[in-house]
Amino acid sequence: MNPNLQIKIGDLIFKNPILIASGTGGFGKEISIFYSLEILGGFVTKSITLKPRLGNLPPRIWETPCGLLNSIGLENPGLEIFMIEELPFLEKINTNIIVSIAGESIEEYEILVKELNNTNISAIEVNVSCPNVNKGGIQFGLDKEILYELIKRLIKITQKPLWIKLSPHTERIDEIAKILKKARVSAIVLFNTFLGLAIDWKNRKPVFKNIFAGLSGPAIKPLVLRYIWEIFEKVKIPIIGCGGIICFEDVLEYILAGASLIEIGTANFINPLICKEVIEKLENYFIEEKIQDLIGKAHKRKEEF
Amino acid sequence: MLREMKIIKNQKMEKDIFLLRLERDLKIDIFPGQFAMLRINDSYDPLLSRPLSIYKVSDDSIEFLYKIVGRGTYLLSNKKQGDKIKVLLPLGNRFPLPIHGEKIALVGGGMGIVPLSFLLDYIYKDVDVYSYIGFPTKIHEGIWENFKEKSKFFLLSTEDGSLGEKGVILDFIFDIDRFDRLYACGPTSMLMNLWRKVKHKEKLYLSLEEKMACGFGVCLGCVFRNNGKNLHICKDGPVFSGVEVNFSESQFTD
Repeated sequence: MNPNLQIKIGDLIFKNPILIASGTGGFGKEISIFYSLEILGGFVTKSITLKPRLGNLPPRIWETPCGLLNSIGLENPGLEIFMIEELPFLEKINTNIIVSIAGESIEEYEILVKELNNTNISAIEVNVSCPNVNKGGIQFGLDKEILYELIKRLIKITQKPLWIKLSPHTERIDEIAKILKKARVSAIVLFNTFLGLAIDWKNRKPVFKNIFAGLSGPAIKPLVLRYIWEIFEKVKIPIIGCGGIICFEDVLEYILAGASLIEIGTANFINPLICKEVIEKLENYFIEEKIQDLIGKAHKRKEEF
Repeated sequence: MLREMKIIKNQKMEKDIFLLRLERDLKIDIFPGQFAMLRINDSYDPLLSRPLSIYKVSDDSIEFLYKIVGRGTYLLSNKKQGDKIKVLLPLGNRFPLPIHGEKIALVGGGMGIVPLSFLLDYIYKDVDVYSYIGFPTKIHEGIWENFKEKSKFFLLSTEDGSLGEKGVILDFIFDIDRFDRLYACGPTSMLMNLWRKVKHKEKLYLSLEEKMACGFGVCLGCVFRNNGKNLHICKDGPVFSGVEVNFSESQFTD
């Protein structure tokens, strides 16, 4: 292990900045066939809801140029089965386990946070890209007032650091980030997927039953990177970068733009060993420098252009 | 595991069907029914690997038989002998094997013959195999001769009658419950109709297909919904017993 890769966020120490993003490594068992998850800086679970969810009917995925549209629909076993069947395996792994939660109402989020307070996990990632059933189905993250209300109530009860994973479609992300910082959120994760569309031209209808689906993969990397840059300049809150990271060079770009940690998502699908390979390259690259000193470093050099 | 494999040949068998033979440099057990994820390019376009059923395995090679159905398989068909390709394999479960002396039916539709051909190689010396394979139209002999050679009974049909019997293959399987086991792979409509016809569902094994991103159970893309629960084709399957699937209570039920 290379100490130069270490990153600190609040009281949490990450042995390196590489995490598996929510929904791309399940609950860890499948990826751990390929390598020990202990080498990771952290592991973010698939989003958990209060009740089990079957998710959407197929088709659930659609390939796009350098990208992937998905409409999985939060398939997960629900809180109870997660706690009994999945969490014990994760808690034994010597790395930061972050549990992603998703609710249909503020009350559901509250129950999830309360239950997770009694576990050994490192942090909770709040997936706010879910429809709020009490407010006509608008996503929590897209309504500033509701989002603030949600976070205020969760911060009050949580004993774990809270990370908020935002949608790129949130308006005035800089203002939201300031509000979240004031609310004592530990970090913001930029971003969840971009909403996109594919048309099945042969049958002259949308590919997905929900019409829109979430776009991920290298196609979105420059879009996310731009926001990492902007938010880094405007708000002093730890940023976790997530979007289209597929190689070591992408990780450096994110860190230099201002991300403290990196979540690798879609790349796990095309190479289950990707996180291991990236970590090995980071170990070799950071012989003299500390990665922590490089966070946002590109900003300091922009005057030289 | 993900490994780089060398292409021994990538041969055109029919106008849109290719045989890909890769050098097998490591001894790993591979069983009929399993599949592989093939990286088409080392770049990000196409982004996803392509799932292909394993067609044939020898001591020093692994073969895939694939049809060009889109850009990914088209790019794959342009690969040349000596090129290298990254492959994740073996993936998925396998066909449960029959018991010595049993009477077996193989029912294949189109490219669904691929995993059945591998199964046939595995079992034909031990059991009586009745092969029923169907295609939309006339197809090169090299694609079906293995079934003709190794089956006790062989029947081929084409929808337009340009080769073999005219009609869909299920129309030619009589007294379907006389078989000890039936193995099938092909279009969903074929599998659904076969499942409905077979009385003893536990004798039937179906290899299913769906779009998948990862092939090892994390993307949750390849789901088959039935009896109010999800089967994940890449990880729980691709082979399912007729008892596990219920087409009457599935995503395909109107």
